[in-house]
Amino acid sequence: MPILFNPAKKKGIFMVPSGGTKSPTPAPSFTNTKSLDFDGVDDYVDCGSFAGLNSATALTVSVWFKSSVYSSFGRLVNLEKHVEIFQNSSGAPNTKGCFHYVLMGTWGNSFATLGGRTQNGVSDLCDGDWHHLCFVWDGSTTTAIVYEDGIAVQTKTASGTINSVSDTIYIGADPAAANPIQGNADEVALWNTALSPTDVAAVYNSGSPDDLTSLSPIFWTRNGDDATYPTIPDEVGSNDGTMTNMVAGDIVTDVP
Amino acid sequence: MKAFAQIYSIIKIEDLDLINFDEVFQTSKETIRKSLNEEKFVIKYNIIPSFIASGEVDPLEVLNHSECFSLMQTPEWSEPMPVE
Repeated sequence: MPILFNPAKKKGIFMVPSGGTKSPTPAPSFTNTKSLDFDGVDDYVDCGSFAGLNSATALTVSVWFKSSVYSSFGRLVNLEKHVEIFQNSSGAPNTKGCFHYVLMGTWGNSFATLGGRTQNGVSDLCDGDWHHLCFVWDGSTTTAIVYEDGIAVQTKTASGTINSVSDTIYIGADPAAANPIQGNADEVALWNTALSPTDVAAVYNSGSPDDLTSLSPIFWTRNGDDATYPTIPDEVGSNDGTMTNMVAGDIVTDVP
Repeated sequence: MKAFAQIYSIIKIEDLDLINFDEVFQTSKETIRKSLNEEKFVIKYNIIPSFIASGEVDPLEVLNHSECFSLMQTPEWSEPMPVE
């Protein structure tokens, strides 16, 4: 009896009766129906220790975000001491919801920061609509690129070595609920490669998240789809997230 | 769209051991958000917990989500993240 495996879900073993000539049952199509809603006070997801980007020579971070509120100090994705995406309005109000994109090297010291108030491609990232953020770094070409809604909005030379020590992936805040962000986040994925512009366009998919399986992420949480509170599964690895200071109602049907 | 917790309370750190985490949204005493000087912390709930109803714990402030979010943005609770 043949067994089909749907890698997009890591689940769903379909048993096809033997002796027949019927076509195998097609894998269910990709659907995105849920996201996580962070309150900006103390909600976050702890995805555990992650070694996949230790000493990485390239990386990509992809996340969808929606908010109508500017967090003064809001962490969206934090692989401590490796790569971070956050809002920070120190010095002046962050009136366009701009994000900082940071690469961290030895001892967790940053060696490149992109984004910030001086740059944003989208007119307002906290306009109440969903936006896709993608941060790509290729160490072989020392090039870092920020994509917002599929458009390369900043390119910068970034030479360095990513930290070699494992750290924890947090979504929505830092450890102990410090620097939380208010808004929805969905489909958080990491790669230890630099996605090409074509790949980034495929991830953005004209504003509709798609199945990332063919792009081989090394971490991917669907932020609600496939989840059983309080666990947010890692679709491709073992870094399942734990919703912290959150309730089941924080899994919402608000998606890009 | 989900509604956030209806009530947020600011509690003295001395009262931390009096909190029954089965009655609030916070996961545990290890995950609570503290003020930078660690003298206060936040709890949130929709139904008034017994430890507050009984007077065992007396919140320093009782806030709605918007008020609490604004408070969390102040220097007492947040310090700017370093950028390059």
